[in-house]
Amino acid sequence: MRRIALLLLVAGCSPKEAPAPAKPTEEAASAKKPAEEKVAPATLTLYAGRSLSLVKPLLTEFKKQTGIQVVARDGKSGEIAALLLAEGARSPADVFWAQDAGSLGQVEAAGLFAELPPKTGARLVASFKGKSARWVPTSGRARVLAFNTKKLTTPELPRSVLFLVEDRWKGRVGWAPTNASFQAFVTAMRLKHGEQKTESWLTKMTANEAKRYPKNTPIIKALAAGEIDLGLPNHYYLLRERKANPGVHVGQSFFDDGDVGNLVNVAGAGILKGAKQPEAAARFLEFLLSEWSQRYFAEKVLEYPVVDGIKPHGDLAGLDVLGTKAPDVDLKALADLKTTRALLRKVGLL
Amino acid sequence: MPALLTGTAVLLPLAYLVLRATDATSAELSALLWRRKNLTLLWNTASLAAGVVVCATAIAAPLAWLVTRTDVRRARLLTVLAILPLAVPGYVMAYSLQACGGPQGAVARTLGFVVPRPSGYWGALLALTLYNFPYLFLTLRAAISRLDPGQAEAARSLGASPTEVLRRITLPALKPALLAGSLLVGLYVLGDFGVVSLMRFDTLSYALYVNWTEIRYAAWLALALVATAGLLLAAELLAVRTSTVARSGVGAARAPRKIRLGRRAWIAYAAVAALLAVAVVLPVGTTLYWMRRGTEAFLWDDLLSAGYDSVRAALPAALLTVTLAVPIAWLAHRYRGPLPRAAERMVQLGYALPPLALALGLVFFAIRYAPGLRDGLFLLVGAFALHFLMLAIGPLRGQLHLLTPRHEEASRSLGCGPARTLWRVVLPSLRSGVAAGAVLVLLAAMKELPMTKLLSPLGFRPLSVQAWGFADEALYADAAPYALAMLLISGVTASLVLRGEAA
Repeated sequence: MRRIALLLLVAGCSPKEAPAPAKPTEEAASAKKPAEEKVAPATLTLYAGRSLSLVKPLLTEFKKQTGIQVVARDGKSGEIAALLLAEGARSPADVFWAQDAGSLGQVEAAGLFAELPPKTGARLVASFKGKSARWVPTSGRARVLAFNTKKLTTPELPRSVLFLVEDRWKGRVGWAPTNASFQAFVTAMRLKHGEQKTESWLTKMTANEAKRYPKNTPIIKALAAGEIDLGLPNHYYLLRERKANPGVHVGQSFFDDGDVGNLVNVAGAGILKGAKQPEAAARFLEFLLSEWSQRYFAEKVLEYPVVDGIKPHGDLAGLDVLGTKAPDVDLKALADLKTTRALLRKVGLL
Repeated sequence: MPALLTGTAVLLPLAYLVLRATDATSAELSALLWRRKNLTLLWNTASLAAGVVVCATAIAAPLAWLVTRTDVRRARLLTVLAILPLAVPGYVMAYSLQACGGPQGAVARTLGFVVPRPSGYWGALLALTLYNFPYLFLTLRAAISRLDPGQAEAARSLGASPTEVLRRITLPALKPALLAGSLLVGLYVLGDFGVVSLMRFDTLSYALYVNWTEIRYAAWLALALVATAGLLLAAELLAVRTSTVARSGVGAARAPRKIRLGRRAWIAYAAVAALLAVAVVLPVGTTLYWMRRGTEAFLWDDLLSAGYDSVRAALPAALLTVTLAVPIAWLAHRYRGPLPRAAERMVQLGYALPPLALALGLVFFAIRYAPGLRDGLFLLVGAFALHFLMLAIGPLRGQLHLLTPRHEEASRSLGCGPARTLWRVVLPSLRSGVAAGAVLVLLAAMKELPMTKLLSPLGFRPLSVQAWGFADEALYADAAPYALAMLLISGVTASLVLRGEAA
C-alpha cells in the first residue's frame, strides 16, 4: 500500500501531470531559499570515479579552505561514467572526477562536459598539458612491469611488453583482463600496433598461460606468494603493499622507452554542463591542482603529481623520466573502450 | 496485497532486462550468445552452486544435530558462533584463505609447512562453503528441533533399524528444510561475485559484473543467471511436491531425549573448533592483522557515521522485509491456488535476480520515471526487501508447518477477519521465525555492496562501502576497522535475537 502511495506521490510531483498543485510548494521553496543560503554555503555534488575512501581527506581540506561542502557518489570510473550517460542532462553532478582518461573521454564524447574555465591547468607539466579542453589531468598513473625479486633481476626482464609471449615466460605472467587500467593499455596497444597485432598478442599471451587476476592488488599478492614471477599492474599498488609489508620480495620496472607497456594514464576532472554550482566546481578543479592536493596525490595516493615543482614518491622515477618512458598515445583516443572490449570478448578474455 | 506489490516490483527490473536484451541487433546477438565461453560460464556456475550446496550440507547437518539433539555444552554460544560467518564479506574470506597459502603465506611462516594457495574451483568452493553453510545450519536446526520424536520411536518399536528410521522417517521430515536451505545457498552462489573473482574462477555473475556497463551483454548474462536460478527453483518445487510432512497427532511435540555425548564430546568439540577456526577466527584474525600497521586516515567520526548509515538502511530493510514476509508466507502456506503460488515464486525470483541486475533495473527505472526516489533511502530499502524477502520467509515457512489451522478456524468462527486472525493468532506463534528472518536480512543487508552502491542517495557511506572502498585500493589497514565493526554489530544482533528466542 505504502509503496503505491509513494509512487503516486512521486508521479504527482512531476510538473507535466500536475502544474497547479506544484506551485504553492515552489513558492514556499523560493521563499525559504534566501534565508537558507545565508546559513548553508554552497554544496558541491561530486561524481567520483575513484574510491572516496582514498580521497576523503582532500574533501575535508577543500571544505576547510573554501567552506564548500562536497557530497559525493563514488565507484569505478567506467561505472560512474555509465551512470552519467544514463542520467544525461538530469544528473545532479557538478563535477566528474575519474581515474581513467577513457571514462572522461566517454563523457566528453557524449557532450556532457562544459568548457573548462580559462587558465585551468596553466601549471601542468608539459607532458600532461593539452589533453582536452573539457577536462584537466589531476594525477598520473603508469603501467609497469612488476616482478618477484627472488626469482628475477632487472637485467633479466623483458624489454618490451610484446616479448611476454616468449616461451621462457610460459605460465609465469599475471594480468588482469577485466580491469579498467589493463583495458586502457590494450586500447593503447590497438592504437599503436593495430588490431591484428594486438589480437595476436592477446591470443599468444593466453596460449602462454598468462594467469588471470581480477585486479592489480591480487597480482602483487600473487607475485609475493611466488604464484607468478611477472605481473602487469599500475605503479602504485606495489608502493601500497610495501607500506603494509616493507620486506615484500616484489620490484617493478619500466619496459624500454616509449613501449606501450609503459602507458601513462591520468586521473582527471571536468565540470558537467548541467552543473548547478559551476563556480564551486571551478574552485574544486583549481584545488585539485593546488600544491596541497598534488602533494597529497604524490605522498598518500602514491600517484604521479602533474604540476611543476612537486616531486613524486621517492621510490618512483622523476616526472622527466616518466615523460621519456611513456608511449606516444593520444589519451583522448582511450575513450574507444567498446572496440577493446569486443576484442577481449573475441579472444575469450571477457 | 503485499504479495501483489512484491510481484510487480520484482517484475520491473526483470522487464527492464528483457527490454535491454532484445534491444540488440541479430548480428550483435549471435556474436554475444554463440560463444563457447558462455557454455563454460554456465557449466562453472552450475557446478560451483551444486558443490557448495553439498559441502555446506555436510557441515551444517551434523552441526545442527549436535546443538539440538545432544547434551553438548554451550549450545547457544555454538549456535551464535556458527551464524557469525554469515557476517563475513566474501572478499574478506577469500583474501584470508589466500593469505594463508603459498610459500610466503601465514601458514608457511608460522607453522613451517606450505599449504597451496587456494584458487579456481576448489578455492571458490572452500570460501563460499565457509561463510554460507549457516543458511543451511539455521534451517536444519529449526527443523530438527521440531521433529516429533514420536514417529521415530513408533518406527523403532515396529522393528525398523536406526538407518531405516533415518532413511524413511527422519530424512523425509527434514527434506523441506534441507531443500529450502539448499536453495538459499545455491541462489547465493549464483549471484556471488567477490569470491569467484578473487579465486579466479569464471562464472556468469562474474561475467555480469565485469560487463555491466555494456548493458545489452549484461542483460543477457543476467537473464541466463535468472534462467539457471529458475531451474534450481523448479527442481526444488518438484522435490517438495513429492514429499509429505505430517505430524503425528495435534498439539505440541514432546521434547526429544538428548543424546549423551560422554567421551565423544571431545571429538565434537574438536571438529567444531576446527570449523570455527577457519570460518570465524581466520577472517577476524586477518582483519586484526591488517590493523596492526596502524591506519593513516582513520577517524572515529567516519566509523560512527558509517555505522549509523549501515543501521539506518539495514534495520528498516529487516523490518519491512519481515512485515511483507509474514502475510506472504502465511498465504502461501494456508491457501492453495494460483495467487499464493505466484507470490511465492515472485519472492524466489527476487532472490534469484542477481543483486547487480536488480539494482540496474531499478536505478534506470528511477532515473527515467521517478528521479525523486533516488534522494532518499526508499529505493535501497525497497530493493533490500525485494531481494532478501526469501531469507525472511524461510524460517517462517518451517514454523507455519507447526501451526494447526484449528486455532485460526476458531478465531475466524469467533468473528475475527483474516487480517486480525493473522495479527492476533498466527503472528504470536511465529515470533522466533520472525526474529530469525529479521536477523538474516539484517546481516545480509549490512554487507551487501552492489545494490548499496547503486541505489543509495548521495553521500551515503555505510560500513560495507567504506570497508570495500579501502580494501579495493589495497589499503587493508584502513579497511579493517569498518570490517570489524560490521562483524561486531552482526554478532551482537545475532546473539541478542537468539537469546530472545530462547526466552
